[in-house]
Amino acid sequence: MKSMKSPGSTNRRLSLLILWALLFLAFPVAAQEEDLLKHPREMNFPPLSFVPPEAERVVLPNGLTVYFMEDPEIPLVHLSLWLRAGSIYDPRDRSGLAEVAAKAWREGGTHDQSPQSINEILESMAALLEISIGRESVSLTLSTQTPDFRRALAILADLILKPAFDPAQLDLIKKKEIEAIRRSNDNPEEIAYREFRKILYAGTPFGHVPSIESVSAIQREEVQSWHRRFFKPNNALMGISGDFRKEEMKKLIRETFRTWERSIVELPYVGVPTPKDRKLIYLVEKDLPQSTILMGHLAPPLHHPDHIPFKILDYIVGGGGFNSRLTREIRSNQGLAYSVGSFYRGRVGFGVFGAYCQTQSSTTARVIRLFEEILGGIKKDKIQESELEWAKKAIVNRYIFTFSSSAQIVQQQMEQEFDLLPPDFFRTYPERVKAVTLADLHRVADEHLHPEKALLLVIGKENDFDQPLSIFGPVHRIELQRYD
Amino acid sequence: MIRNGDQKFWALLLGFFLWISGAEGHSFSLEGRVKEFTLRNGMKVLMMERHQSPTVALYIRFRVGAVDENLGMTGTAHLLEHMLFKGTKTLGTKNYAEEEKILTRIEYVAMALDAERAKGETGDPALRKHLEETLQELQKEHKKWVIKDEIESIYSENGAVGFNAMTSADSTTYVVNLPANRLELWARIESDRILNPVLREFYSERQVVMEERRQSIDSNPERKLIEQFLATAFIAHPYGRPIIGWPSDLAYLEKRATEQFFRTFYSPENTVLTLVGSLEIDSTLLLLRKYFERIPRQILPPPLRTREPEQMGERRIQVMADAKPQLIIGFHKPNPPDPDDAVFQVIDGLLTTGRTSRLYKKLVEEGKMAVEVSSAHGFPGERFPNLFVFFATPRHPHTPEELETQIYRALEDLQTTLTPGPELEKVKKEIQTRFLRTLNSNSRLAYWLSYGQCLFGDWRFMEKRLQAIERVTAEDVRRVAQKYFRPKNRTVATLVSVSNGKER
Repeated sequence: MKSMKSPGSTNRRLSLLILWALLFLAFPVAAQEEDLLKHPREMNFPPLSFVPPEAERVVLPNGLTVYFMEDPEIPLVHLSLWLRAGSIYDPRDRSGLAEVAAKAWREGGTHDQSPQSINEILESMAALLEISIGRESVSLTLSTQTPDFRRALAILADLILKPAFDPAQLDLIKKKEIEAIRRSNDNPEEIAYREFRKILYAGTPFGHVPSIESVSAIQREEVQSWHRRFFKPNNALMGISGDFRKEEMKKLIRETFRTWERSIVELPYVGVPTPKDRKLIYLVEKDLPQSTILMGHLAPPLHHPDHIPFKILDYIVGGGGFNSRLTREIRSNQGLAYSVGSFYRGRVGFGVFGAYCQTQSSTTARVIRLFEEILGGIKKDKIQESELEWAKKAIVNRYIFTFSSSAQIVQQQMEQEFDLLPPDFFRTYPERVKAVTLADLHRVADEHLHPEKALLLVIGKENDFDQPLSIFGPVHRIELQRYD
Repeated sequence: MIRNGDQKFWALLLGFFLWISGAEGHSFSLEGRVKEFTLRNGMKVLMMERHQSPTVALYIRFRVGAVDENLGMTGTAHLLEHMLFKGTKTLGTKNYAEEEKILTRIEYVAMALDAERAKGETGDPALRKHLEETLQELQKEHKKWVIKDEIESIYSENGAVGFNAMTSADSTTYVVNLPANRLELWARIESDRILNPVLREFYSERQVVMEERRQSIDSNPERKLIEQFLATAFIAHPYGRPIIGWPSDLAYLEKRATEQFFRTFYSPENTVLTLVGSLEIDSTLLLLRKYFERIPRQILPPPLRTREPEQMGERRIQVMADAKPQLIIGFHKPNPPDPDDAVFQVIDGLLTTGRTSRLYKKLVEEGKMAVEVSSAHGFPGERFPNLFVFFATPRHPHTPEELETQIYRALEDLQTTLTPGPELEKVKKEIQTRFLRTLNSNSRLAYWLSYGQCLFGDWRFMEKRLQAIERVTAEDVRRVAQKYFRPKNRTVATLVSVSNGKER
């Protein structure tokens, strides 16, 4: 805002305001009320010019790619490390291996230091070191105050280069995972998304879910070889942002990871789920006052030319808050739900789209019918130009928020590389959103939106439903495993 | 960062670096960076410039929450928060004068219907049906005048992120993040929301909130346990009531009473506007004066005087649910600015923060009897005396009772043995660092600045609490543990697993 102001303008504006203040006294309130109640759509805003800073990318001799971005505002340093690994590479009878191995790596100590002493050192510095695993990625983060970074980094490097996988800690982690499985039927949403994935991704590792048996069977040797297989510099992306000097940091990283040796990492192609050829209906019976409903199917992958148009379509269908069709009708107009909408995620090999809702048992069938009407309606009644404009403006105007912090900027560049996206993917994103036309949306809705071949999944108490699920077609019942 | 060489900004930043590097390294101060103003009507304004990106976090926090509700109208503060998304006399309507006529008719019919529903079995089914149908007709008619969720659509097409609101026991907060050039849009919409709100679509939104309750409490055993626990721990103070409201209140909340609640509590003197991000203080202040000073001052009702009477003995409850066992233990304690409050935050750190905390080591790592154990030092709010609470999840086949015994042992240790210096230092550093991490985001800064200002009349609250924490000694920890962690002062709630009505 400031950059556009000419030197004299402050005064001009001030005198206008003084004048205005006098008016305030002279005229009845209505006069300014009108001015202050000008419709927001008629308001004009000064243009915003912003060139987001970029992180510097460096590739070390061992193949480790590192992004650096200085940001001295707060005396903290943040590091992330992403590995190409994840649950899809777990053997079928060892489902849960990546999860257990990643945690056992973090908790297992090093050749020189016990798990307890590592935690004592990290926590005495208030350093955070955490690891989390996804289906196709493992990410770990280290966050410290500036003066402590060097010491914490040394611990991270020791863990990477000579982890001990302490058997007692491994045992504890397996026990934790087993307890989590035992509790996995407590929460209806957790049940819903898990069963949804299992059915939609059946036949691929994307649909595998750990069991007590598969976790119990995991051996220490398997955990160690998991680490040897995936923890390679050439299989990793690192990003560092915060309060440091870039040249010093580069030197430090280079030295710290000099002995981390590259090697060939084989990532087998695990296949992608195939679309269903007909409607599938599943019911999980659970004694609850409210039904959880999911309806969805596979959708364009991230690299598909229709990714962005489908994203906009999803925004209009149910991803765009109160003004999206599902939320407006089911929540705002009919008061049938607090939580209702849709989601679309384009992954590297495939995408998934779904509508979700939680409604009281006695309106379950009514909501399902509305799902069918609204999703089908998008194809029939077509989308309005005004809806498209609204969605495009929203996605384009909020775009600057993806550059809100240095950590976010670094992460965005890492994501681009990790997902094998073209190097200008994020920078050109707004332009590509703007280019989408109504004809594109109609074509994409025709090609990629298929309520008639969707998976419908309901968690709830069927006796209390307004109508039995069978009115929508043959129902498969899922018996939840009971753990005593 | 904005590439425009703003002199003042760099000067400020430079001074700031000298300050922190001159200190111990982890020190950091908001002093001088936060600007505080009071508008003519008593409204507080806090502003902080941060030029990381051309965006601003905008928080309006009102000092009104579920504690300000009377019995019989629980859930009002939260329902009102939902209603304020429905628009104003100029937003969300095609013609308010026409719309208002139908709104009045809807209200009369809905009130008659509520009265009829309340009769239950003794009511007249034909009358009820007639009223239901009339209401539906009127609601259909009303739709013709409504522009659905217009505020949300305006904000979203202007690039808003995180447009939302939250109701707690203590306060209600309206949040949005906007591109920095759209500050006036926010001032226009929000001042209008406070001046001219229209609670349209009240009765369908009431149903939405009932669904929210079914989802967040009734279908969630853990939340159910917390609800029952609080209702047991507080017998007089409204902290014992659920924020979302008891179902029987919720079903009959009245539009008029909700409007009355709004007029009573959404007064300028209860209001804090907080703006953090890429903004210029002087011109923004002029803008805020222009839009928000029109809101008339109002006299506030006397503050809530109810205080929880001293607990006379242990209270213990069970909740039966189709879920795995859980344990909650709570002890009454004072709220800020009582100096003992900061000691509890240190105890929280000692017992449950991190992998080296006492209870994690004892229950999770060594004993392997818990999946997790956590604690909270200001539950469920901080405007009034509150609770120190433990949440623990046993690992099969261990029981909540075993965990309870171990937690009491850890409390005994605090009462009998002085905490070693390094352990105390570790906890203090963790709390300081966690605070530093919150400074990294406009939104979290706005959250905490408005929190301190609204609840305690001082945006420095967080920093002052950190200073109080710095001063906590091992003796303080022992004294506070002895004073508050007594059986007489505690409430224990356990979730007992049942399946098909049978205990298992």
